[in-house]
Amino acid sequence: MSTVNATAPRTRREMTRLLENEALARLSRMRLQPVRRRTNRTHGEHLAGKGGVSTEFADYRDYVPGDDTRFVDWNIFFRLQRPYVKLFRLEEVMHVVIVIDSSSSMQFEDKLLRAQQLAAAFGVMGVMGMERVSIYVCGDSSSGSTSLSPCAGRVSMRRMFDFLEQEQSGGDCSFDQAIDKVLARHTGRGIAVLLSDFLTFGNIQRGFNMLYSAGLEAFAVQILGPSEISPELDGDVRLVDSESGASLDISSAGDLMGFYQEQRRAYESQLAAACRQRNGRFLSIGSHVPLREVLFDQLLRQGWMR
Amino acid sequence: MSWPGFLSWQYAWLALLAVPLIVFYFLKLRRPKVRIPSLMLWAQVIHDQRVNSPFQRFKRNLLLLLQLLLLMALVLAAMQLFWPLQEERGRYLTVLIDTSASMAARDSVSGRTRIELAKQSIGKLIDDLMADQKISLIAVTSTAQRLTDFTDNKRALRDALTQVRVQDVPSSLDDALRMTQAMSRSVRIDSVLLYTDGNLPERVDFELPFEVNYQQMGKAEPNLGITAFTARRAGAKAWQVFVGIDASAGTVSGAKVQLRQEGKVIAEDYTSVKGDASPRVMFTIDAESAINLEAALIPDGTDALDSDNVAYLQLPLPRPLRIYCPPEMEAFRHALGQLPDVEVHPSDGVNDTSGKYDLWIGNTQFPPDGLVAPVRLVVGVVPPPLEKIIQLTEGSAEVIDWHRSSPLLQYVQLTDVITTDQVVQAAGTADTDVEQLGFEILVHGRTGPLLVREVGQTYHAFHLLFHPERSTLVYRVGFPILVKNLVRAAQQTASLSEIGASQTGVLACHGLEPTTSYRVELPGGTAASAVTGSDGRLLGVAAPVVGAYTVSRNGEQVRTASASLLSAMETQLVAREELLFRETAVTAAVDTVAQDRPFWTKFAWCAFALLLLEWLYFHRRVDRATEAPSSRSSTRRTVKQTAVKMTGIFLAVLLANGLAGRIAIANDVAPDGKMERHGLRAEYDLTGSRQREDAPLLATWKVNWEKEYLLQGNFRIEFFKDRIKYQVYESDQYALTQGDRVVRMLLPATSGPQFWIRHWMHVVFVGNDREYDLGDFDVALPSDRHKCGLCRIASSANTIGASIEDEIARQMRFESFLEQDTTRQAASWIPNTVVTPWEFQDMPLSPFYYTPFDIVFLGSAAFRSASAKQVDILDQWVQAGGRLCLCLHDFCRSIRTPWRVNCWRQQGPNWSLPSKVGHFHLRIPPPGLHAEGSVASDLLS
Repeated sequence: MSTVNATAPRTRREMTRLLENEALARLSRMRLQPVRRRTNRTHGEHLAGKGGVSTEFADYRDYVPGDDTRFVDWNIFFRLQRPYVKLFRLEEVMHVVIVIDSSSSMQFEDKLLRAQQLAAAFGVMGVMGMERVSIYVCGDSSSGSTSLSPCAGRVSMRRMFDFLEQEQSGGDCSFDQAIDKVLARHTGRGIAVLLSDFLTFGNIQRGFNMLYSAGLEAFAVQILGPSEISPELDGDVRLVDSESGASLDISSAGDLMGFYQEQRRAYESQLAAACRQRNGRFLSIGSHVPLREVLFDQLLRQGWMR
Repeated sequence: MSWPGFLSWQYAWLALLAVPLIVFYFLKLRRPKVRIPSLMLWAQVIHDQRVNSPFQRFKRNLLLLLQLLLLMALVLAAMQLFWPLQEERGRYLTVLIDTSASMAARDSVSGRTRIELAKQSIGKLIDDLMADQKISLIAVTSTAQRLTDFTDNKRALRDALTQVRVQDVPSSLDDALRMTQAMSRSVRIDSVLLYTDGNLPERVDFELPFEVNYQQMGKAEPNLGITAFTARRAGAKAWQVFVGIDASAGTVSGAKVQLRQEGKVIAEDYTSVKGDASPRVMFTIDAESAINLEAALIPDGTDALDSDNVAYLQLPLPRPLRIYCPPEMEAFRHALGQLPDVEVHPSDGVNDTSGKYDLWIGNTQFPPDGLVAPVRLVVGVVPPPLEKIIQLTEGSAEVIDWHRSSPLLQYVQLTDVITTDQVVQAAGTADTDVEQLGFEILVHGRTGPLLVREVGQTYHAFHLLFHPERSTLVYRVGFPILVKNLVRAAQQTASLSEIGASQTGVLACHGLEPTTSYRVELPGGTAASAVTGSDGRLLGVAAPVVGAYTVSRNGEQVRTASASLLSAMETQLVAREELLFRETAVTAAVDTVAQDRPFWTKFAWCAFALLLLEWLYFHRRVDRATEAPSSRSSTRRTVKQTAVKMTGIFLAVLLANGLAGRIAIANDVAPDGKMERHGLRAEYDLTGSRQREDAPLLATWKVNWEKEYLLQGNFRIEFFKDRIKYQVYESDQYALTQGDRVVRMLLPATSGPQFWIRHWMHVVFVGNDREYDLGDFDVALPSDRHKCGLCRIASSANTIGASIEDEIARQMRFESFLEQDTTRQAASWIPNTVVTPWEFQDMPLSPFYYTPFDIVFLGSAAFRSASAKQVDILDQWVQAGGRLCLCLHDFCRSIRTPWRVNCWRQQGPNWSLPSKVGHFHLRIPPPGLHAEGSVASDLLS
């Protein structure tokens, strides 16, 4: 588990306390890989799903009258004596929306820190890929979310790190409430990186549906602490919710571990299915897993980035 | 296969406590709080149907399991689980312990004495005593002594068992069995346990009404012992001393016999013993004065018994026999003059009719005033008791038959003896009438008895109903032989010709001042006081051990008496495998006594262990699961919680102990279960009750009684609580005291909550215009349901308040004989008493039938109509420890009984009753309440 203190002052050799320089350098060379290329009309470096004018060849098609003859591939015409039109991909700007859950449940076992680190990693990949990166931190349900307005390019990196390194307070904001707050302020298509433990009593499906409707692919990362992955409880205990303060009496907790793991795995499957059905991605990690392993092993192997 | 049983099924309902236990466990379970990020997953977990299944809720719930086990252990303890090892379990068990001399013999296997083995077995029996069983311990020697009443108080039983000591006396079962039979009148006794070595008389003349379980102790080592120690006059200043030796079966050994005087060996011999032979060693010693001899046996090999290796004998001062024979009885004086070592008085014209004589021969009904003689021959006079049925008339009479085996008539030929005094027996009377009047006929004449012997007196008296000088007897050869036999009998009585060592049992000591109190020091160091009879014989001093007894008066030693075992049966260590009773025989049991094994104490301890385990587990969970308390407040909270839990555990243990204790006690108090309604009760034993110095004592006179008294009169009883006197009673009550302690007392009716309050009372007895302070006692009155409660205040046994019916039915049984007013009076003294009148003629003829009764009330009329035999039986019972309450009118004073002749002596308005048998220091008729009053006595002496 990382021992990074996000709020500690940076040294001169560091750009951020969240990421090591080596990882930062490697991340700056990597790009996010969305599933369905939801882009905006604004021209950019990101290839749009539809055809357009760019240097990136896409396909051929038969020439039909009215087509621009500039796009006829004359080499093919001379070889086959039939005109074919070259099609090119459209490179557009893609929005990268990073949503960080900073509720009280994320205050346990460095889950929030890991979320900040991942947000920094995704943000670096976004701004270095000239995408428009915006970050939203959702904690308290009564107040609004703090956010980083969309930014792009290397010049925005410092501002992004400063935003992420702010100390975040807890709250009881649920997942769907957080999505509501984000979508109330965000416009643009792209991907939504959701960094949360998703341990909320809210309607999970609704949040994913709203993201899908807004043209955002849900890249969900569930961050759980070791005590949530393998609780060490036994006997008769009274569990107290860190967010709502509600209590729940558990008898013979040791015997319920099997049921708990079943429920946890079922919930993970439910989250993964929700993401997959909406062209998204899902990954559940432990806060104790090293960041390097998460970034350059799990996320890379699962095609989250390239 | 036997199944465990329960003594108290009614406590099975306690198992229902498991339901609230489980409910409260889950409702009020103290759960450590654990703060987690979210309950979302756990909420889904507990909504799983499988989680909420009953089995899953109980699975591995160790705390609840411990609590259920604890409850189960308590329930089983309350139900008093036991493992039956007996086919039929009797509630009342009598244990007879042989404490005769042979029980001190060492067992050849274990090396321990038989009495130790018996006490070990009985100790196990007491340990396994069931709650509804009661044991009475009876020590068996030549007589019987009840050590405890029927009780389930193990402490009292163990104390009594500890105090059991071997007495150097032979054993006999008769008295013990009769005592048991008497006890069976009040309770049902099915079986009697007899622990003995089998050294008993072969045949016991007793018809067994119950089963006897004969537990025989082990075989003893070889034994040699002295069984006879006698001396015979061998000249004017010499004695021949004989020492008889016996041995146990199969013993072949030698032994040295020493004769010691004042600790110095004056003679010594060696003898050998083989099998059944009983050698006798003879010594001849010169004795010019009275000497104390001690015979000691020193066996060569092992010897099982020590008490029979020594014997004591006091040789009297040699002197001639003193005979008083009036001068007019010339035939007797002539015959006496021919005998050696005889001193006939009066002589030389001196007629001294006072003083001590060994033999008195006279022709008057009674000897002259001041003349004391242990052997008497009265001639020509009919004794007063026979005057109603025998008369002397003129005529001739002849001898028909005579008692030839009588010592007086040995070798006496009375054939053809004719007398001119005719003894005529009244018509319609028979010889049995003479015998009922206390006389044995030695010579039968044609018309009536000619020579009778008085029976039952402290002296030997012969009555020659005709005058020999008016018969042909003086001319017969038989006459000097008759006189010779008479002199021999007198010499034997005076120990001048032959003397033998006294056996243990009752101390034999003669020749003391008549009706004088003496102090007797026993060999063990204990002392007893005793009074001599009119013949100078010391009465009623037990001699349970072999040795020399010192008799002193006013601090000055006046005599040394001794007691020796001298029992061939005890020395031979006879071990009978079979005891023959009337119409039945009892064989020694092969197996030891199988006693039901109770488990409730084990379950109680198990419950306590579970309680501790549960407590430890409870704390272990809390310490681990809760977040570590770092602040001081957390530490205080933990300490506070621990204190609260410890208090709870303490209260639970108290409750468990109280419950168990009540079970054990309640059966002792109320076999019918009535006392169950009263719940927990306090046990109080005021034997050593404290005198509260801070109490506002009102009495001015402290009682200083030594023995036991029955007080009936005005009592003032003041009840206190927290030093506040809240009730005072002044009424006519009844109380039994031992020393200055009230043992039993009828408490007046009270009501209200004080029955549940442990308070104390101050008792003052009012009498003789004085107030006698009986002390302060903690009491807990038993019940408000009764008008009166008999409170047994102090005793060595369980002393628990009981209802009057239960207590009287169990503890005290009042019997009244014949007279209705006595019955009513007894009933008025003891309220709620059910008195069963007995006809006096139905009074038992054995003192042991009185054993179950603590007090016998006797009325005037009943007492007046009592026969000599009945009075004698009562006397024996009183001497054996029974208590007697006499309710007598003034006209009864003339009744002659040996133990109440001095009882009534009016001094002023009150009665002062010094008695020779009791301690009638107190006789206080309650003014205006009972005109007759009562007599209080302790007749334990």
